[in-house]
Amino acid sequence: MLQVLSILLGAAFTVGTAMALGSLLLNRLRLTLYRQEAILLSFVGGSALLSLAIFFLCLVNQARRNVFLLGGLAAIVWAWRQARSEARPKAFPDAPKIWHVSFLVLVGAFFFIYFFNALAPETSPDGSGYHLGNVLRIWQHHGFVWTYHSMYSYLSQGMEMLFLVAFSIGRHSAASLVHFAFQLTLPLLIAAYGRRFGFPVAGFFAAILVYVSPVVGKAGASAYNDLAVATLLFAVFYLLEIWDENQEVNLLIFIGLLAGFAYAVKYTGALALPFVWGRLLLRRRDAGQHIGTWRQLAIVTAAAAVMILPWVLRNWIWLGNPAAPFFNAWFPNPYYHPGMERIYLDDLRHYVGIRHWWQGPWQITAAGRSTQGMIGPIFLLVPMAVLALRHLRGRRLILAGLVFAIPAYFNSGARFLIPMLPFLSLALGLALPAFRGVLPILALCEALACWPQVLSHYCDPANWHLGSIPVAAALRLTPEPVYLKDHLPDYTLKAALETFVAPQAKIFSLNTRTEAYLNRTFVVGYESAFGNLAQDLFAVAYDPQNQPAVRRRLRFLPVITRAVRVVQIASASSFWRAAEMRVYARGKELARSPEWRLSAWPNSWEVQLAFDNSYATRWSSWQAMAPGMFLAIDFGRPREIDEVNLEEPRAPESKVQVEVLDSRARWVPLTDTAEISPLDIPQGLRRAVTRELKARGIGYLWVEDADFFADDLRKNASYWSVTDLKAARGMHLYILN
Amino acid sequence: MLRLSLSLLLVVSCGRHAGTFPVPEQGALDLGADPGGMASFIQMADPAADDYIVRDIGREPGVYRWAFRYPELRFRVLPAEGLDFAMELAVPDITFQVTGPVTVTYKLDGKVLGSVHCDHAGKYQVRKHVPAGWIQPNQYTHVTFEADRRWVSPEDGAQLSFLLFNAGFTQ
Repeated sequence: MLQVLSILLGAAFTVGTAMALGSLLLNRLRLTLYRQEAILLSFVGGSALLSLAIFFLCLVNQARRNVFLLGGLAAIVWAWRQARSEARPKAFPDAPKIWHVSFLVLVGAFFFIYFFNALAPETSPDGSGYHLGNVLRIWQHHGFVWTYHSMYSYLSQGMEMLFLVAFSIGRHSAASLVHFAFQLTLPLLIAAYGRRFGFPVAGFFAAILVYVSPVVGKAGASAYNDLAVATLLFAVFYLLEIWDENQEVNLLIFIGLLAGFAYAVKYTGALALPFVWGRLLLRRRDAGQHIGTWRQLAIVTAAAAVMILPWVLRNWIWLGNPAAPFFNAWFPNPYYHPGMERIYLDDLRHYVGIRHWWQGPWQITAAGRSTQGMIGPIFLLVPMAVLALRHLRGRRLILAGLVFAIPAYFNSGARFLIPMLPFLSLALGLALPAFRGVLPILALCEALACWPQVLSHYCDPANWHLGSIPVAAALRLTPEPVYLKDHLPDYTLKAALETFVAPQAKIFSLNTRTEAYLNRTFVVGYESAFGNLAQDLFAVAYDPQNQPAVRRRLRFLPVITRAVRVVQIASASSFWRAAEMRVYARGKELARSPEWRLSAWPNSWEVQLAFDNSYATRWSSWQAMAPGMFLAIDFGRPREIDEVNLEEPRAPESKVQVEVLDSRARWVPLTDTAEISPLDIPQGLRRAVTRELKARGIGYLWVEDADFFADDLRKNASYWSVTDLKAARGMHLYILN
Repeated sequence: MLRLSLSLLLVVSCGRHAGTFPVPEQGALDLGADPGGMASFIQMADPAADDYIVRDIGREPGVYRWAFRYPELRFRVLPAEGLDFAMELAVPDITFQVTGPVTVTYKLDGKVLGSVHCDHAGKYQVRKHVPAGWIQPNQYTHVTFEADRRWVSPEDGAQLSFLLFNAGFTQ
């Protein structure tokens, strides 16, 4: 029970601190708000300030529990004293009682499910993977860990900053409860919006639809960030609507902060700022206030920059890419390959199992298999929302919904539709009252249809949703390790991992692991350039298609030059790869000399892989093959050469030419005629892989039975020079001998 | 302001520059054995035959393949001692009528191991002991063939030496 108390305390302290900071902020901005919305917006705005404060603490490695407690308590006391001296804002006008009660009953029922799920040990894939994995890592180091590289650690982590405060007191579940607080804030804010702007019924209706949505329930009860970003986007819209009426300049500061925080929480939240710009500019046309609008834009942008720039600058200075882990082709860096980014993004966009267009709406609303979650069957009625276009607010809601649905085009997960739901639900609420009595029936039916036990009868078994109410686990009557072992396969290897593997050792895995519970450092195949290299080693040793099977021999008349390069002159969607590049004179290979300097374009950081005399490693462009790519050697002094060889996997689409540097420092092409012959691939590639991994600090492998090299590793462990330390539930922990 | 913006854009758009790198530590190319892979003998009907062909042997699958001007095969042989080189080849009637008797010389890594004199059209079996030390265990051994007379296509100049059925090392 003590553990449950610490979890609740951790979450309550974080939410309380956020509300205190938000209350101080709203007071300073002197905004005119109703009492109910002021409370909600205090939490949302204060979360932004708290997140920013924690960011700076992480920057100076002072993310410590005592610092959090001291700062948080100070903020709470300050806000409490201030609240005592201020007049209470007025409340909303009364709403229809029947709707008030219905809202409380339905939301209350689902609150019960969500609360116990959030309180139970965190087992969601991303929550127990990278969201809380990042938090654990930061917590252990009291700040950002600059030596750790994973694409997930490059994402903006505004929400993780809040998780960190809760985690410092109540560990994983406390963090989930912070997200749960956003999950609760969103419907309350939707209801408040309806009440403020004169359509309380539509507001309550929409709030119910959003809150009972299965994907909202699942994501919100996990240590994710989707509900936070949805709440922020809706809050930005809400405040813009208020601003539209009262034109309070200070409101723009608040809007800017929230728009910026939306980016800090999740990159998809970056849409908030252009949305605000668009809204201000559109209004300018109506009002004809040219100068005023530019000032307004400047205020909003400056406020947003306060929240956005810390994350942009962190990535720019740390990684050389302000938008990491995206836009790597624009901002080349040694930490994440553009080609891997493309593969990753293509994968996110891919809908598995949808063959016809009409299957999409069914999957997204009621089946949930292909879309990893469902938004609820009522959203099949979304086309009826067009009836809301009759109203000005309806048009605004639909436009906002469409704008905030843009990320869903790039990611097939139902979670990415959550930001759109408040707007479409409100539009539906505005559209349907023409049919008397239909709203309460629909809201009740939707709530029943989304109740976990009912849902399980018609959705796909693979649908990502809450399936039960784990009261015993939430109250820790079921011990946490037992629950985690049941729900997280990785957890079964935790004891072995932490027994056999030294704390500073690295473990390679093809897939993301539940790093929030495994207190070791993983190098994951797709998460970093280093992971790509490790994965590529296995691909080379295991798959003949990846092995350097041919020698591409380019011969020319003897020439004396200081530098030579092989330039790609073909285009293809595949990457250009070379295991070794060798230079010859009179039939003898030029010995590689310490005075040589090697370079490549792109991916020069890995050029040494083409000159290390190892067929296990290879240089790759990690971008689609394109003319102008090259591998180059500067000999340091003039050398006579007459032949260049590339040892590479079969790539008939590749065509290269040899160029040498002349006395006027110009590259002169010599030949593009290549003689291609089979290459005698030496034996021992498997052992070479082990050697290369160890040389790079990887001492262990975490292998799942489904991994492409798992069978080979098991059957030929002695060839790989590995030992299986522990196996459980289709997973193996190997040590590299 | 414009200049500052342009400078910022330039700095940002460049990303991180890698520069140049020295030659890394050189690895060892041969680190022992791998399971599977190439064997010491191959039938031309085997789907894996292409892996053994270095050059100038037809790629069309079948029980035999045409050897062209400079045919070359490669094998990986584990035991290095007590080996015989064996092969089956044929000189078809249609080429024999043009070339007459043909002598096919076969070399191991450039060293002449033997030759077979084909004085009539038909199939020939070759078996020749490999002297000790000619083959390194678990290394590639290249076998080249040279026919002293070849049939030259009057249409495209293609040169056909003989038909190869199988080749390799046996104990």
